[in-house]
Amino acid sequence: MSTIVGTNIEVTNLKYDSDTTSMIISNAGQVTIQGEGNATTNLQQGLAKTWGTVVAQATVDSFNNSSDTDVSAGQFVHNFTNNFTAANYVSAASCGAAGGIRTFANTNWYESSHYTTALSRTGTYDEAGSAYRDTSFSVARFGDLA
Amino acid sequence: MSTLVIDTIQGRASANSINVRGEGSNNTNLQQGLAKHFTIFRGKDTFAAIDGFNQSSIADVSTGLHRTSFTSSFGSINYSVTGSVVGSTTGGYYAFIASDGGNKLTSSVDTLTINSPGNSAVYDMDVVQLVSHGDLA
Repeated sequence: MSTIVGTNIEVTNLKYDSDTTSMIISNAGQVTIQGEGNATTNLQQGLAKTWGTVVAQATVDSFNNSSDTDVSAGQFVHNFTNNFTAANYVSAASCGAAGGIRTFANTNWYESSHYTTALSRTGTYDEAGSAYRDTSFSVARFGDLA
Repeated sequence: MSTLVIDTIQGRASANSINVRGEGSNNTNLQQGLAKHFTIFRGKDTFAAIDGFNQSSIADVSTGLHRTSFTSSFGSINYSVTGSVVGSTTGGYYAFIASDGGNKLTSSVDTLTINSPGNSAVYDMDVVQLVSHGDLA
């Protein structure tokens, strides 16, 4: 068998050969994948569920991002298309340092209204000037979708 | 059918787009969710790569400024790069990582490690970690 072309294939195991299982699909649709070594990992858990790149207070590229809110200087909200199941997802962000302005990013806001299943606010902070400041930044988020 | 023996999976309607059931009832996209690049390297003392994926080379451009080149390039410069540094026991406790604000290409990205608080000086850190998401070319 070299190629199957179809819309739906109901299968539990995907193998390279009879001895080598690459993926196992559970009855909930979860996919267990053979890792690089002996251990297995989970496909869904390893995927970034949303990511974005913000330049000049606008998202220039993104995934699972429905809209943005430029709240104020150095504070920016991403609204998700498909929400997370709980506000305990991971959000990692890094920002730019153009023109000698050194900024760092805070994300997953301490105020619950700024970190929900549907949105996440990121702050970019000029550490030398001790103030929020607009700059480019990138963010990626991991967790369970609803 | 319980077992399928194959080499390659690709989308039918679009070869480069495969939907995946999420943890709940929503779907997500396999290609968009995959990290397209990661790296971990020593930026202090003897500069060296530790591990990486889709990384052709890394370069110690100058103090605190490092260039990571990709094996497979991105489709545009709008990909997402996030990272962090591991604090040292001898200095740079409050260091953070940022893009350099300019040299972000489809084939490579420059990053700065910066010492905080107060002096904002670029500073070599050990260890530096980056993850990139976006569309490959």
